[in-house]
Order: sequence, then structure tokens, then C-alpha cells
Amino acid sequence: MFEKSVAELGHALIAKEVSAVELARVFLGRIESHRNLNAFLDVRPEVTLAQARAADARIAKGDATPLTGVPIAHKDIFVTRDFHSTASSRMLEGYMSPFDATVVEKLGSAGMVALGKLNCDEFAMGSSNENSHYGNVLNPWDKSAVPGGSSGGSAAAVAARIAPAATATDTGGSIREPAAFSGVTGIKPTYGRASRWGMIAFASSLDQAGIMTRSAEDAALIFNAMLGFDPKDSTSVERAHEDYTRSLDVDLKGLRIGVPKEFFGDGLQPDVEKAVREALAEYVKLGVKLVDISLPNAALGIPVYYVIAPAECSSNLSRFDGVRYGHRAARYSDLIDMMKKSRSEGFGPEPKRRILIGTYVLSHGYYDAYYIQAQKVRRIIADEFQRAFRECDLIAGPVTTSVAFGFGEKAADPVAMYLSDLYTIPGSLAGIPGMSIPCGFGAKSRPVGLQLMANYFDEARLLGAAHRYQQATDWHKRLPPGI
Amino acid sequence: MIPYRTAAVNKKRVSQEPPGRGHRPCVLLPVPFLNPAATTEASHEMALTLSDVKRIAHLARIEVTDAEAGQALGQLNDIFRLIEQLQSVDTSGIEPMSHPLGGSQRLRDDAASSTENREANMRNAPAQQDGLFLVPKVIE
Repeated sequence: MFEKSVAELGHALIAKEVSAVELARVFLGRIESHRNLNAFLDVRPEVTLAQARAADARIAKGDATPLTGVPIAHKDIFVTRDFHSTASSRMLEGYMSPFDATVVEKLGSAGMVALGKLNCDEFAMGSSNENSHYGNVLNPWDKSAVPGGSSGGSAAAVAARIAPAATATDTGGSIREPAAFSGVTGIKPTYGRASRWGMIAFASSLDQAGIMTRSAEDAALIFNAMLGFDPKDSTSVERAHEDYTRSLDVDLKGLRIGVPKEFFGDGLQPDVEKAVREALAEYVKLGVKLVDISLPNAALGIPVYYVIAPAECSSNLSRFDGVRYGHRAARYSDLIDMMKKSRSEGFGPEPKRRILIGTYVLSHGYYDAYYIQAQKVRRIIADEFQRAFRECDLIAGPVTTSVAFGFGEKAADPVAMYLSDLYTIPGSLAGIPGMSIPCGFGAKSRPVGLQLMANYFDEARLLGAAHRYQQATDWHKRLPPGI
Repeated sequence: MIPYRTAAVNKKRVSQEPPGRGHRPCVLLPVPFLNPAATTEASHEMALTLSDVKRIAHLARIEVTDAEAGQALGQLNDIFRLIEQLQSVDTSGIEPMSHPLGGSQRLRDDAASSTENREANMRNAPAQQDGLFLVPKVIE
């Protein structure tokens, strides 16, 4: 049962081939037997089973959605009423939110059953999941490799089939990179599609919720319930509800996929390039026309990102002062000392580093030279995407320069770690939707991801192109050894 | 009068500021400080010193030991070398992009909407008394 997709589980539930309680028990059992992956931070069977019983009652009444009774796990960046919400930080150890994030609430309203909270990099800052206060997550394909980050727990849980789907968040690549490293399907929608209400904020002009699943079809089904306008998020987009599954079966004949030459330059490892080129060749077989395009300033995305994201993070994380919630130091001399010691003890090295960078680039004398300049270059990059989309419908390329790296390989060198997001950051800065789908294996039999990007609000077409590829190939159905 | 050793916090504000709030624009305020001689031009050959790191840390309300500041110094300078690439980009005539979808942010109707949830909102307070957050003495 654990090998079934979200779509198949939904059908099995409505056909009463399995109950939501039975399914919940299957996945809770798998969480228990795969504890070594360290994917979960909080699991409460009584909460999960109560939600499953409610889902069964709903199915019995004939009031089910295609997702009712299907289990899902949530990245520990989304606040939840029934599970701890820690952002993988010591700062929020034991924190119980008074409310559910909108994304959690919407998926719960559709009847999805929450399995628990997933490990990630602290405050979603990282590319390897090594920045969690609660320890590394292991990559199910190779336990000496990182699962990617920041949504490492989400990727590992879906890859190891201990959750059929998992919520995730993407600020500079935190859905696509771990999806690629862990061999699962991961998609971030257009900025503004998913509510940020209750998503612990890192960089508000970039943060966007998305989903990790085994297939594009499953992602489309979940997007139908998860996305939509939320008056509680001031950057939520007001648009009519759409069916994200509507283009799944659209023929790709005549579709133009742009291939940016800058994504195939120095630094791209040959094993990744080979798998990505083969995937592009598969698209040609499906009737797609490949178009050479250029995103000349895409590589500047990294310096832009490492000004804007830390700037916004230093502002967002100033709310953690040891007064209203979060860690408070045991000993201090006065109010300022209490705040300093609480923040120093509560935050790990990466959030501290980014707070310091952000404080600096926003400071007097540097604000224009760094922050405003970065916002201008951000527009240059976003405009280049718009020019490219005049010549193509989608953009494709690698997600990462290499397959998953080993633990400790980049941990001591922040700049090397930051370069992991070379191909994912440009799309995040523009705010366009992007996804990673499994497209083969590279060095050490570790998974490779194909990145697909679409223009604003074109998720349905993006998901359709991914789905057609997944009908023609079986990379997304491969199981990690021993699973 | 504010009770001794406590700071009264407006109820409504408490309920609007859980850590996961996402409904407000991120307010980015420049912090006046640092090297007063620093100008846009001076920043071109900027390299942080140990005392810069300590001043930034103080402004960010993060306590750092000398050893931590020393380690951070090298890493921060590496990161700033990466960021320096932006200085050579010609951005004349380009509007800064603060938000992917542009335009102004939507404002909600000016109507009270916060739910009264004081008990739940206070549940995570590190120290509290009589429904108030306890903090060290602020005013002598």
C-alpha cells in the first residue's frame, strides 16, 4: 500500500479498499521503522489516528475529496496546532502554535491526514539539511549523502515512501534541490499562489510553499487543495480557482522548451549533464521543440540572493527576542543582555551568519550599494526570463551542478554551499514556478533531477509537461535500495 | 503604571504576532551605524574588521565571543567577496524589484478581525505573570 501514489490512495479510499485509519497505521509504522533517516521531528500517532478516523467518517458519508484520508507530512516551517513547530531551531524547541498555517489548514480541510513534522535546515537556511539543530537527515539512496536542503526531511520521507507526499518551502531552491538529490518530484508555484500565513518567515519576498510527491500528477491533485487566495497573506494573489490537473494529458507536440546555455557551462558535472541531455532528448521524442535561449545574468542570482535573503531574514528573525515565545537564556544582566544571550543560544551558526550579513547590508552607507543594487539586478534577471519566455513555453535544465554531495563536504565553507543553488536561485528571484523531476542517476548511483520552469501562473502546463515525461519514463518509480 | 518588572503588551498586538505571521509586509529599516565614513564608493574595497563584526553583532543583538567573531570574520569576508560582483553591474535606469509580482500591496479593510486567543498566545511565553510577559527591569 505504501508504494501507491496519492491518486491511487485516494481512489482506494473512496472505493473502500482501505480505510484512512489503516493507511495511517501503515505510514506510522514506516516512520517508526525508518527512524534512522531522521526525517521526522514530531510524530503523534493519537493526532494522526484521530484525523484518520474523521476522514473515514467523511468517506462513509459520501463527502470525500480525492485527497480525503491520504496521509501527508509537513515541513517543520509550517506552524501546526497539534505538533511542535520548531523550524528545526533550538530557538523554537517545544513551541506549540496557537493556530495552523493556511497550507496545513487547507490540506486538512480536504481531509488529508497529517503524519507529523519534517526535519529541515534551521529556518529553511541551507542546501544540505546539515543546519538542523536536530541532526542531519540521511539520503535514502545513499546514507553517506546529504538529502539536500532545506526541505531535506520532506524529500527523504517521500523518497523512502514513509509519506506519500510532503509539504515543503522554497526560498532559493529548497524544494527543487532536495527533490533532485533525493529522486522525488518537487514543485514550487508562482510566488503568491500559496499562502505564507503560518509559514515561519525567512525571506518574505522569496518564500513560497510547494509540495514533494512521487509524481507530477500527485502534485497537481494536491495543488488543487493547497493553493489559492488568502486574505491573511498580503502578498497572496487574488485569482480565480483553477484545476491544476487540467493539462496533464495535453499532447506536447509543438511545445517549445527553452534550454539556457548558461545552465550548461563550467561547473556542471558530466554525469548530471548526460542525464539532463537524455531527458531533453526524450522530450524531443514527445514532439517538443527545443529552443536555445540565454539568461546572461543568471549567475548573478547568487550574489543578489545573498544580499536580499539575509536582509529580509535579519528583519524577520528580529522577532525572536526571548520575550513572547522562543528560547530565553537562563542568566542575563538586563533586557539587552537577555535578548543577546537568548538569540546567541537559540540560533545556530547559519541563521546567525545570515542575520549578520543582513544587518550589515541594510546599514547606513551600505543600503544603496548593496540592498538597492541587489534589487535592481534582481529585476534584470527577472526581465531576462520574460524575454526568454517570448521564445519558449517552458525552460529546462539541470537543478544542481552535481548529484548529492557527502556529509561535511561543504559544511565548513558557506560560499561553496551557497553555490549549490546556482540554477535554482534565478527562478526564485523572478518568482516563477519551477520543479524538479527525477531523470536518471549519476555518480555513485545518486539521483539526478531535471529542472522545468514556467512563466508566472503557468503551473498547469508545467505539471502537464512533467506528467507526460513521467508517462514515458520510469525514473520517478524507482525505489531506493532496501525500501 | 506598568507593574514593576513586567511590561504590559497590548493584547491585540500579541495575537497578531505569532512567529509564523505572513500577512504583513516585511519592513526593512536601514540601521544607522558602522563606519560613519563609509560611503557607496568606500564600499567597493570593503573588507570587514573584527571590530566591525562585533558592532554588527551588537546591532543584531547577538552575543559573540572573540573566537566566534574571528571565525565569522573570515566567512563573512568570503561572502562579501561574492556579493561584490554586483558592484560592476550597470543598473542605471533600472527600478529596484522588491517583490516578484510588483505593484502595491493589498490592504485589508480597516476592521477589527483578530480573534481573542490570549491564553493560547501566552502559552509559549518564557516567563509570564497575570497574563503579562515578564522581562527584566527596563526603567530605573
